[in-house]
Amino acid sequence: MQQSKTSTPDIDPVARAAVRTASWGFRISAALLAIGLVISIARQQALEQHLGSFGTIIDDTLHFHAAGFIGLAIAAIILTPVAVTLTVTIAFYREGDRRYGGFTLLVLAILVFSVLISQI
Amino acid sequence: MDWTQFIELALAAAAASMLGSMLGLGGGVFMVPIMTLFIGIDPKIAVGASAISVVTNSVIGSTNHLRSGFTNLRLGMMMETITAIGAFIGATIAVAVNANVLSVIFGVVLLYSAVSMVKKRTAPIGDAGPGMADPMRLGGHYLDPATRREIRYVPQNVPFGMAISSGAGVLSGMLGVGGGVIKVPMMNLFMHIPVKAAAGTSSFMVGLTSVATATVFYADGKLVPAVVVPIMLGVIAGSQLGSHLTRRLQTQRLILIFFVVLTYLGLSMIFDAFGISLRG
Repeated sequence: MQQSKTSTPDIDPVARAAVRTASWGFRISAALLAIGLVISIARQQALEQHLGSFGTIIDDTLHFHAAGFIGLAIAAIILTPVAVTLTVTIAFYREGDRRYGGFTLLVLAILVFSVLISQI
Repeated sequence: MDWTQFIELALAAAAASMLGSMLGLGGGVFMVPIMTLFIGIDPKIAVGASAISVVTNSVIGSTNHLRSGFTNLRLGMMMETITAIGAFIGATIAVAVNANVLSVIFGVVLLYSAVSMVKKRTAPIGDAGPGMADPMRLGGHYLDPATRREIRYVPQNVPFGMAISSGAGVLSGMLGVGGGVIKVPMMNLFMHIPVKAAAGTSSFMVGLTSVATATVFYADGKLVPAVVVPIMLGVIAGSQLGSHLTRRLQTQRLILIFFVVLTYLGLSMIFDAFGISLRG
């Protein structure tokens, strides 16, 4: 291990892309969760015992039901790491790093596969 | 809405996430036993909710680790190719097996976690000077805030690390835990990665791994909003409080307390699977 005195290293563009996407994913999920809870309390709608299909979640959201916003909040937090992987893939390719762009693309494919197969 | 259960779950998640973040374990190892043993949640629903809590914790925590430079994205993504497949296989097994089998496996993992925490060591890290070979360009560096010095390292034994990581992925998928309790010591001891970089990289990876777990449990109808929502709220509060308290409390004293707690929870999970209650 080499130790040397240095100033704080700047965050690299790939990490910056990951931080930005993760931060926004969390904010969106938290905002949707807050809206869902407010509607749930205001309209006295109980939290569901089953998370519906994506179509049902969208339909509930359009009808301003708590279940829709809460379903979207859960979906947003699950999809945030997928979005982070997508932005990291793009960032690696922009940096000209094809090898790790390829590994990240493979991770993205596995995550997308697991998300898609859950809808079948 | 059952407000009593909502508050119980939120407090349990806050406590589990706070304890987990204080010791770098993630909250999953505490979350599932508390939900099943003390709140009476079905083990499979508890594992699904725990997977969501791990994703939430990872999204919050990894932003800090990335900003600090602790996360090695190249290493994380390379290892995640095989870990995510392991998690998908593990989760598929978990939804098919008897809940008591899951409880026994979880109990064994808790006992392992208790022992590994007490035996935790820091591996000597090799010199990663300019002459050190790094054919895969996996080397990393970060500024250690404690010493104000730049730490450079090159991961060793990468194929072995990937093999262990795939096993951690299977366990993560089966039990809804992040797998940090396996990955962090393995990266440090066998791959010669400094603890902070191992914890930062593991924190990022567990979020990706748990996506595969969460989607399998969603497909099986085991993601219950009435359980997941208070868990998410508890995790958001607990992870912030945990990182704040970590700076104030002495970790060595806490390790002894957590050893006792993890051992008790582990034995309770195993005995519960055989119909014997240790809760009086």
